[in-house]
Amino acid sequence: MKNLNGEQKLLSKNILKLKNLSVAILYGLIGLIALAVLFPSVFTPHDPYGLDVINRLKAPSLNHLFGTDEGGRDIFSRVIQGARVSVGSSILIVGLSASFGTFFGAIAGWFGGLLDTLLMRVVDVFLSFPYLVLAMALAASIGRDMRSSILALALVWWPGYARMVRGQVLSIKAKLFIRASRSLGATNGNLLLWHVIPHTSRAVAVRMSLDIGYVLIALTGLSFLGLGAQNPSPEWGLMVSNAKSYISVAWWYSFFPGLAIVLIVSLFVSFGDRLSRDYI
Amino acid sequence: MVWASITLTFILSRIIPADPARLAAGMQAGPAQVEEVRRSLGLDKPLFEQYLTYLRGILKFDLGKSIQTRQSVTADILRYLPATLELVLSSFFVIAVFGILFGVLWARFPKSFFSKVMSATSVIGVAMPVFWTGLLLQMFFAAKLGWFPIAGNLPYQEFGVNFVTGMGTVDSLLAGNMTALRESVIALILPVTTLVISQIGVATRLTKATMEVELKQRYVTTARARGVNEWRITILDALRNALNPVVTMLGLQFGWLLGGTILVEVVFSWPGLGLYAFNAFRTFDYNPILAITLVITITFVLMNELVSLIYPVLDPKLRETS
Amino acid sequence: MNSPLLIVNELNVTYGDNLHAAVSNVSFEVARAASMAIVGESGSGKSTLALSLIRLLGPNAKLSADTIVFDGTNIMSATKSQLRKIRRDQIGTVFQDPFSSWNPSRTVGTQLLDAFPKSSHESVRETLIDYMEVVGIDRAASRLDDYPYRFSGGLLQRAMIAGALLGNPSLLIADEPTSALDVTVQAELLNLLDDLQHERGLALLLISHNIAVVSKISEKTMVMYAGELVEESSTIDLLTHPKHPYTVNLLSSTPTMSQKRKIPLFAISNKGPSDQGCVYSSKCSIAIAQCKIEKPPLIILGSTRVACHRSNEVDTLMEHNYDPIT
Repeated sequence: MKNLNGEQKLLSKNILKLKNLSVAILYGLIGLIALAVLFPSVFTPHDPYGLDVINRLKAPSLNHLFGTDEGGRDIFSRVIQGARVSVGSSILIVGLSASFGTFFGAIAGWFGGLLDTLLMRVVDVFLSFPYLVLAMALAASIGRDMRSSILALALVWWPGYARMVRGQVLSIKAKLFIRASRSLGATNGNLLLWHVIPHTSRAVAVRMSLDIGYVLIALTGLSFLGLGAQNPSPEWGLMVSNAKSYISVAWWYSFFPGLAIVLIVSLFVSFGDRLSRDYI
Repeated sequence: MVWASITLTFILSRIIPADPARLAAGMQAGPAQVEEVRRSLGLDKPLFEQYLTYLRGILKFDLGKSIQTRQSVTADILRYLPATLELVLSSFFVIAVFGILFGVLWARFPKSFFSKVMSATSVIGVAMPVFWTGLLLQMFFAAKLGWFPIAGNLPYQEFGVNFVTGMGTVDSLLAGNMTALRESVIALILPVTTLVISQIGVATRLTKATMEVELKQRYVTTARARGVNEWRITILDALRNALNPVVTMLGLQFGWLLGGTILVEVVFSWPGLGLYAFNAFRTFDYNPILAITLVITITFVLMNELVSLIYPVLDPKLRETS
Repeated sequence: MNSPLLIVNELNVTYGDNLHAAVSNVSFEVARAASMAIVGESGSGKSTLALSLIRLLGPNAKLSADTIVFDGTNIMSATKSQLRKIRRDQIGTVFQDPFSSWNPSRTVGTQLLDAFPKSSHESVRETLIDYMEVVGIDRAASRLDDYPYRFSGGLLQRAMIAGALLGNPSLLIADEPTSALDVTVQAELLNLLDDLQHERGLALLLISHNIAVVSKISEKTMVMYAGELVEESSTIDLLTHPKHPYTVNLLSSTPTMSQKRKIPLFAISNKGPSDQGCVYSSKCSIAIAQCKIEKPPLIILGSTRVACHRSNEVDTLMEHNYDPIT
């Protein structure tokens, strides 16, 4: 049996290794993105805002990996800098909607009754609201910049979390360990904070990862339409919008920022998928 | 529901720190002119009264005037809506038909090469932003290869077709002009392809998943034991039951499609509501924005109603009790 | 006409990477118009065996056999369309759970007519209505247009039997047809099968975990354990003079209505089947060293086939703490 055990261990270690390899790659890439978002200047070879009109619309080369735009600015550097704007904002949006939504849904699910019905009505109204319209209206009210887009998207994304967390809370409520804690004298607030909400954290984490991808698509779309970021911000959607006028002469201008979006979204969606498979 | 979103949009549009009258009058206008505009737009009246006027107007189909086009918004909408419908309906049709078709094939032949291709490609569409896909297609197939027009639908004057509905295809048919019809279809291809690429993966994957579940059911084994042809089982038995969740998803997808349509219309300068909304927004033209909100919300509600109407068709138990 | 209807030789079924076969080297024959039964506990491989006769196993299963010949046709080498014809016309099947065996979204009639070409639908429908009346379904014609949710379990099974009779089969395979039904309905259904078998000269292969059920209508019974055939005998002989320890234990653990029982019901130990030697040796009360090393071959004792090294001692060595089920 010792041999068998020993052999089994080796097998399981190998399996773990393969699994760990792909997860490791994902974590590694996300770490890289985080670095780019926090310290873009480490990765940018040129100044993302530096105009150099003589070298405008140059094709990709060793010096300018992604070519230059109509102002002669290095697109590669702008894409890196843009990560902070695009991906950073997406993370912010997801963070805001997840926190607010979780809180909202937890309260609705926990206290139930009239409060629950009321809160869920609010959720229903926001849930089917098309974000584009809201973003347009907000942009008109607050002004055309990232603030209004971030607010608009956060307002549209939070109901999803509220609904999901409420459902989870409802099923947790019935579980024994809550009753046990209560019998030990735990208060409502205590229970909610230390038991219930942490229990939903896995599902929320999965959703957040997926949402960073989806929000990024929505956000860049808004900037493309002129609702979010404004020039000279190196926001990816905005860059593609600017590139529109030069499609016949500078394919690289619209290609690379868009490619960045595709890669980041794929990364976060794969990560979310992987998380859900491991934990749910 | 509809009421809630209309009111919400109205509130948002009036909470502006900026002065709508000034914006409408333009930057050069002097204070007197701004007052003039304010009065003419009814912006000097108390907020609640404005709201009531607005609501009354909706019931009478009067949605105000567009500052940009100087036409009544209702007229504008009627003019541009068909082109959007042409785009949306064609895309939706392709997504529904091919999404279901590929999903069924994928479930039926799980170990084939086709299946591997499907696994790889069905996720990509979602990650590609619609506007980027559109631009790339435009760059390569229209600008570079010249197979398709870069922008617009049917150049009406060039082909001598009368503007009746605003849908290139329909108007060409009405005029009996076959070359124009061909041209309008060609113009449709790139925008529709863009929308299809962005959405079809969802439909395909869901169809495949539900089909897989159905094909594992006992009644499939029973049917095989009776000697029923495998394809008959796939379509008549499995697909019928799989359609339920798929139809629900398609209903949701219609909503997402509307969002993507705006972007596609901007990229391809397609003369539909999306482009209209985009221009209205850029020029702070309020009435169109409010009106478009209304239209979008109503479409959402209608779509949901339609989807719930289909359920009795699919589930006999519902049919016999209703 | 005296040749057996079904000849099976060395049938093997394995699932995926499992080392232990679901069905292991089973050979048997079914004579024309014979009434046979296969009994065994869950996991014995009896249902798998039945399904493999018409090659209805899932994609994970690996079926191999030296011979499976039905009425002159080699099942193993039959083409897809040949197989379909056989399933439709020559071999009828009745499954266990009536509620999951029907597609809830289609009428009973359409499902039963599915295998037949559109052109013959009218005549087949007529025949089907006749059969439905034969199996005891009232207002058969209108019932055909009803959805499965309108039927009770018993009626659904009757409908399934009617459908199985449609192609005029010579063999009817019934896989636990009554397990999901009430006891009263069970009896009715079994009687129906019995009548059909006699009136139409059908061969009936009845599969059950309940020996009491099969004792009523089957002439011959096969006993399976862990994928292997351990005993085959005429049912009466099996019940009165079982020759395999497992059969003895099975009979002892079956409750009967007889009042003569003084000894408590026997409980078969839940140890798994052995990998080496006789498959039952880990639980057998009379197992000896040989049993654990050498796999007992199927030997013929009179009209019985049994796979046990000590089969002739079973009678004397094992306690007869059961009553013959009459």
